[in-house]
Amino acid sequence: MKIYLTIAISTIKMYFRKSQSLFWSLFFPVVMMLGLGFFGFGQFVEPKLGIIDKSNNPESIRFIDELSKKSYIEVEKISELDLEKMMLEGKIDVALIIENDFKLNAPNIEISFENSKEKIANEFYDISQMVIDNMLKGKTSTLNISLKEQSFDNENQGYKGFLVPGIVALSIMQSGILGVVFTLISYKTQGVLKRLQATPISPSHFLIGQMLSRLLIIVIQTFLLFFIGVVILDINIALGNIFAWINIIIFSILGSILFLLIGLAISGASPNEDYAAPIANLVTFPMMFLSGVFFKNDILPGWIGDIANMLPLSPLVNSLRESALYGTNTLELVPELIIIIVWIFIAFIVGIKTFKWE
Amino acid sequence: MSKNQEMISVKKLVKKYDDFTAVKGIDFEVSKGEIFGLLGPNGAGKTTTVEILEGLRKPSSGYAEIDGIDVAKNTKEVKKIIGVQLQECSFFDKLSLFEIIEMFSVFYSSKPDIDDILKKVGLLEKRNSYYKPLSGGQKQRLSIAVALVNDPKVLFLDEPTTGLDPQARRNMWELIDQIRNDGKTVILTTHYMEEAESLCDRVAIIDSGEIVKIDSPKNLIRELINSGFKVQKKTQEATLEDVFINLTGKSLREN
Repeated sequence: MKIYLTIAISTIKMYFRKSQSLFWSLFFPVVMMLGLGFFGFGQFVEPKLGIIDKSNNPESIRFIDELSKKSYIEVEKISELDLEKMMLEGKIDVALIIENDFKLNAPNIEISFENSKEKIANEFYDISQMVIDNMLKGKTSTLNISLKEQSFDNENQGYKGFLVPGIVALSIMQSGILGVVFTLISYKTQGVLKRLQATPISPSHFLIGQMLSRLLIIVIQTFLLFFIGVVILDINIALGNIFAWINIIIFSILGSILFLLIGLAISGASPNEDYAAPIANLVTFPMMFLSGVFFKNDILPGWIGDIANMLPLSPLVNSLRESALYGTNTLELVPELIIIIVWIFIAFIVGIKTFKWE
Repeated sequence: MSKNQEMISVKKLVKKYDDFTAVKGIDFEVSKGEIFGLLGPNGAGKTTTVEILEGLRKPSSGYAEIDGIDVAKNTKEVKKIIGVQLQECSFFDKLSLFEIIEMFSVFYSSKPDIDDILKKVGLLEKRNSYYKPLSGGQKQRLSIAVALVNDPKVLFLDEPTTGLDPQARRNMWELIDQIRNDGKTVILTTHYMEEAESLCDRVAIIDSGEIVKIDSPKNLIRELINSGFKVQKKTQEATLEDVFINLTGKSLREN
């Protein structure tokens, strides 16, 4: 026990004395959050329009059909009851409400939006007008489109709220994989591991001590990054919700274990030291873009999306996002939990089978 | 030399790798308190032999024991009573020398006076500095300090003076001499014959995996002279190294 503790404490000391480690685990993710969050990087995603059709007559249905044909927007019919929830969860950006007795020559439409989406709402306003003008083919109409700004409790969630949990998950992966790969490889090449082998402690003592301290560091990092997101980017996370806390703890621990083990497996499986860093990059890079860190996975075409959802980072991104923003019940995150545990198992087997001391 | 004074005993030790045999059935014994040198050209099998004794490699066949403990069977027990300075190794960066020694003490469950060890190897004033900025000689001395944390019965020194300047080398010799005076048995491998001659009680000369000769340096030299060997007559009574030390002094240049 004392041996694990000594190794863990020493590892933590070394970690905090190294300026690069703090740069990669805290400074870099924060810069990324600020950069992407403030510049509204998320607006490059197709805006999603939710339509509530109150009149449901032939003219309103034709109007919706015409809107749906526009390739640059995504249209979904929703019910009025779901409106607020879908907006809160960012599943739709703007809602278009077709009032009763819709007629093309006297359209009565309300565009409802949350205040951070004003720009998108204005675009939809123009698009709606254009569609109606086209459908009337020059015939005059008295347009009655009103814009209604909504304000929800979770205001300002928007893309920033979507982004922060993604970056937190990404940082868990980076710290886990790169931290382990680079330390182990340098210990291996410099002969530190060999020197440890000449002592009576077993190799596993050292590995377990290392992993435990890194686990602790990553969990601290996770909470710090969420905290920075709340303070600087002003996102609202479900702090009052007990599930948010429990889930973030569970998933940051499991995620850390998973990526530490993947790091171990990479250090073991790479034929020599020169290959380890490129392999680590090769493993992390696709996940950075396919696991829904910056954009929703559902913009990926069918089978790529299905595969992407099974990558180790995807369930971590999803579960942290769900937990932090909506305080989702842990039971609803069981599918994510299963994918993570399966990957932990795979990485553990590969790591144990391939790791060598020299 | 009586049987109970034997600290190390090696019998018919063989180490085979896939395509070659590094150690071809060697035998030797080392008594308690002896400095025993393993000499030989690169690739002769010195390091392999030492690493088998240190428990880092398993012998292919043969037997080796330290203080009566079978090295291959009770590797962990052997590791507890030996101190090891490896030829190519490094220590954790961003830990102070004090912390490194403290950490290794825990691995041996021993509680040495760390400052005392640092003082012994002349690194007391460096106790709070990191490993990386140390000079070559200081790194070697730290390596020896770490090897002393468990107050070992046998100390293995694998080329401890390779790459050191003459001052640092002489300083290392003094340290090794001092360790012998503490009653420890020392196994030393080296390329420097001068070093072996001045430090070792006995040496084994190894070539291509076999021991060619074992005896004290004095006896080996006498034997060679008796066989009619003659060095080209020299009137010189000093070497260039003597000149160097005379001009630059004995004090260490690293602090």
